[in-house]
Amino acid sequence: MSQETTIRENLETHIDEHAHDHGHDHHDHHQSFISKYIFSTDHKVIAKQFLITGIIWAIVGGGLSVLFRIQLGYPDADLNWMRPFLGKWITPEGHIAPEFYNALITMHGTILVFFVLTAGLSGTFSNYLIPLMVGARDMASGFINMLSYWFFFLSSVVMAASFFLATGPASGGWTAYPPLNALPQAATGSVLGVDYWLLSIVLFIVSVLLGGLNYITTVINLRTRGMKMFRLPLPIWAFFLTAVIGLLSFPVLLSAGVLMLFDRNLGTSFYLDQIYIGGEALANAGGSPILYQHLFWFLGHPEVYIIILPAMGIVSEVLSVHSRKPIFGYTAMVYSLLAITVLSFIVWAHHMFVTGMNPFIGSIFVIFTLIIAVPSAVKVFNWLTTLWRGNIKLNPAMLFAIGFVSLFISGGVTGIFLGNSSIDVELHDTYFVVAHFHLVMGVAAFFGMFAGVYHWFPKMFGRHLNSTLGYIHFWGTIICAYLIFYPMHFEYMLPRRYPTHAGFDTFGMFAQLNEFITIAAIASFAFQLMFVFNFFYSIWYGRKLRVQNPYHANTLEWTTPIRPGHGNWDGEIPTVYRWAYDYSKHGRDFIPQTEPLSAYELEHGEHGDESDSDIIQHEKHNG
Amino acid sequence: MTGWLIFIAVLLVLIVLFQVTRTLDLVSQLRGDDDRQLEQNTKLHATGLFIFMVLGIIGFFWSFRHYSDTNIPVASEHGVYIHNMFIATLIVTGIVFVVCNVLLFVFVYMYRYRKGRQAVHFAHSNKLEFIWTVIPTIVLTGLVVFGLQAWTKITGPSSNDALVFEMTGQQFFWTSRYPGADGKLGLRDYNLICPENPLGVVTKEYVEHRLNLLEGNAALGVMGEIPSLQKRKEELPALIANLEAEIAKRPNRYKKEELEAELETLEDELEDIDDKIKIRMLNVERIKNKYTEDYYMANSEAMTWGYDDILPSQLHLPVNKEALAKITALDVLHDFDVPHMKVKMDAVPGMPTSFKFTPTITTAEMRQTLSSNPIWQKVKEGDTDPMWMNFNYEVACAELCGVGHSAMKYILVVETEAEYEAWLAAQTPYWNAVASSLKISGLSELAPRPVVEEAASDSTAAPAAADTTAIAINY
Ligand code: HEM
Ligand SMILES: [Cu+2]
Ligand SMILES: [Cu+2]
Repeated sequence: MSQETTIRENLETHIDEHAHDHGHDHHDHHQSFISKYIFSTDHKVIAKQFLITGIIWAIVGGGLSVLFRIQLGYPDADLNWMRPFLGKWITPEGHIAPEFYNALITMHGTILVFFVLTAGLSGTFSNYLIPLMVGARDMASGFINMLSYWFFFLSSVVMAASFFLATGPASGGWTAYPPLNALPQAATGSVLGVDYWLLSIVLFIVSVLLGGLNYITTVINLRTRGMKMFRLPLPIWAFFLTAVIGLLSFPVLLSAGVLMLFDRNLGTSFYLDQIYIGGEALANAGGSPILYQHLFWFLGHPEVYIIILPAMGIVSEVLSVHSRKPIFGYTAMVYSLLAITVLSFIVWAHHMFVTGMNPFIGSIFVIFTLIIAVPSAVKVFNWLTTLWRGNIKLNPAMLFAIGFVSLFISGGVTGIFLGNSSIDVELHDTYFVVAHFHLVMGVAAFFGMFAGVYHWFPKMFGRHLNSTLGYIHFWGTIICAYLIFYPMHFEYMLPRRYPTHAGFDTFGMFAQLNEFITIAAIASFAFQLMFVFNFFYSIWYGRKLRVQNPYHANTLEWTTPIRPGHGNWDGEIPTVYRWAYDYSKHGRDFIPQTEPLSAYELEHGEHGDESDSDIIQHEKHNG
Repeated sequence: MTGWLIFIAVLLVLIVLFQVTRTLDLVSQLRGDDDRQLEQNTKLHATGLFIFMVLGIIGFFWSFRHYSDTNIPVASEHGVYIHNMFIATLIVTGIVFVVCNVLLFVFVYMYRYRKGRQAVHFAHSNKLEFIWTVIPTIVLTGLVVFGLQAWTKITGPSSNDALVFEMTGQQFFWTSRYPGADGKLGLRDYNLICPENPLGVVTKEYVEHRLNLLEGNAALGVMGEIPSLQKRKEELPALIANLEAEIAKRPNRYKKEELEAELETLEDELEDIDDKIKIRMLNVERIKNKYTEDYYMANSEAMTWGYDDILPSQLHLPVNKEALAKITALDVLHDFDVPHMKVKMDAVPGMPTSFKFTPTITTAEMRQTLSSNPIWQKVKEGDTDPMWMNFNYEVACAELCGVGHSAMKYILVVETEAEYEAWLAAQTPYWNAVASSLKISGLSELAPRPVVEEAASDSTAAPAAADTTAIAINY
């Protein structure tokens, strides 16, 4: 596949708007399989590539967690049956070797945070929805977009390869703190695994930056006629700001990673000072391990918002569509997204309250951290009000969106504990933190992603997912998620990243609880496998989508053909006349964005607060 | 065999389940009345969510009771501030948690889809949005103010008569150090660390000893690390050549693999040996550059602080007296974590940190308290006493530090002032145990002479040639 053809193809779709009349058939025109499905520049295909790669990584990452949970829940069990596929990482007594346990948790965190919830979530939905929802034929640069996926793919290959190193993959935590990760003699995973890890992350950052540039440019430049910024559906705002955060924060991780590569391979001392290890007093002097933590968390905290903002956007849309109500406080939602974007850059050191950082600096970060809880709270209240007096249709997408709100509340409130530095002294690096971030970020972001997949699957593949399996998936997942992560709060004194707590009397009392959590984790994994089956089965055998706009939604993606070709709309790109949330307005179920305002109608946000008057009208109607 | 049977059975069940779900979907499709179907589904799941919420909230309150025994009593002064903050935050956020989740599920139940009903177009309300921006702001401001007050107290300067001790983390154990009779902890330099000087305490003799260990000293019969490595470097090529010849001679694969592995180790050793030599030469250089006559002159008093330092095998602290932990690490990050005291502070190589705290409950009192706790009344496997009888405050490591992270346990004993004094009096300086085994020409006039009997009995107990990874400090 040469660059030339890509560009030619691009031009063609932009010039010849009628090249894709065939709508729903696969073979289309002269595109080969390779250029259509592998090195495609169509944002919809790239989105699916991100999604499917993300799903594969999710299975791997989730599978790893099942392995280490088994060790944690059953520290005395004989795990020799794992030997066929884990080999020497099973000790002669049949336990998971502690160094491999560390590698498992490291890889689990890295894979889920970066590959699944960043690439799999942003990569999929930003790619899929931005052009469709702003009314563009494709991304600003299809070619750069394709590169973005392939850099992700390369990064994935490097990370996967590290599993097969004789000394194992990186094992110093997903945060990769030095000196543990900077010194080959400090851990088996640090011998070579960390080099692979760093290389993979560097490639990944390139992918994120290429993708982000495209998302930003597309949202700014390629909106269709009439699509003002404040008419954009909320997911687009979320994807846009996510890309902005990524563009500003990932380069910092890049520099942190490159400096670590220098420390590891060139003998520099950015992060190292006065170290005595393995019987040797190393020559490194003058560096600081804390410097790395500042650089890492300057990305690391924004990263958690890179993960959650897209999910918030998706959930806002899904909640509004399926409750047949406008999203409540659209403007406040946009401003709270903006506030989160800005604030996410000035709270990073709340991860470092007990590193010996100057306590005064800690105080500043306490203040900013608790300020960021305000826009988060506003969003929750707005979601709740969106549901209030709606006409709520509970399909699996909507259930997952509701689950998201519940999990975000439950996980968010514990952030208030952690953000207060004095309480964090007690809670830092314990299972309380694990519970916090899994609920608020891990599981919640997954719920946002599932809401998106169930909602847009028919648009993506022209077929429906099996909804009964979807319902089972929802119930299994939410019940297990709470059973796993809620009780973890009670382990608030239990340190993280221990393969066994048996050495301590104080920690021993949680053995039973750990076993229970492990069982719930395995069950939850089984439900996810069921979803994966449903997903792939339905791509080929699902019930066919027969109508263009199955949910009676307002946004532009539902004005494209049932199976849109490269270029999205057959004819001209539609023009937009209103915001995306005119549901149940003036007695009409929905009014698509493409419908002009009628003569007497005020647009949302214009003077004359019609929303309130609408209620009064309604009140009168209902007596 | 049974494994396979179970596998097949599970598979069959799954297939049946899947067929059922497919039929359900098909049936709904055949009925054609999507709306009615959706209404029924919505009712089912809205009810489900409602029940889920009710059970969840019952579970929420039940769990506090159920886990009440796992709460560990707070055994330090500042721990109480933290605990109070925790409880205040728990109440505030507990209300938010319950109210928001209840609203969520109740709204879903109340406003579930019914055919023909219409939702209300309610897009925004400045008043409402203002209210719920302001309320969280006020509540959070309150929490911040109280939190920062506690934080300032916790991190403020320690009092002058605080009991100072030092904790050093290294892969994978803790070493504690008390200042001894002079009340001053000896200076430290990581360049001086060796088996006889596990923390790199600075004294004139340790400097000389370390240099001798590195460079060798024929007069004292010390080969020296650098000369040994250099010798080894000269030998290695011949060894490798021999081994290669041996491998080439072997006609079949008999034992060939073992030899090849051996060869690889030798080659790796040769590859690394220059680095090893270089590191040690730089080590020598740094020591020589630093410990000049000028340095000795300027620091003659400080160089004596280390002689009476104590390196006990457990931490002992008097109750109700402020203690200041100076926290350091030798190799990677560790974290000094005392769960009962709510003490947690990273140990960072190259950057000493500290944490002050006042224990308020002695170990004996805590045992008494725990004797009525069902968890601590249990008897551990292979034990005869209930657990509370052997309760001890445990120090853990709370920052991932490698393969032995979960093994970094250390015991902290809190006792009365008198008990503490008695314990302290029974400790002997670490120096006394090792002085006689140092490779030096003679003890300087600075060093206190080791007490004869003790030195004799200690030298047997002291790890004569122990490696750094297994320092046994027995008194
Ligand atoms: C309500 C607002 C929030 C506050 C005040 C808050 C506060 C904190 C604090 C202080 C920590 C550090 C705890 C420690 O390590 O001792 C933390 C950890 C974490 N938080 Fe939050 N958080 C909030 C919301 C979120 C959200 C929305 C996400 C993700 C979407 C998130 C993801 C995480 C993650 C991933 C960690 C742990 C990282 C690690 O150590 O591996 N938090 N949070
Ligand atoms: Cu954070
Ligand atoms: Cu550790």
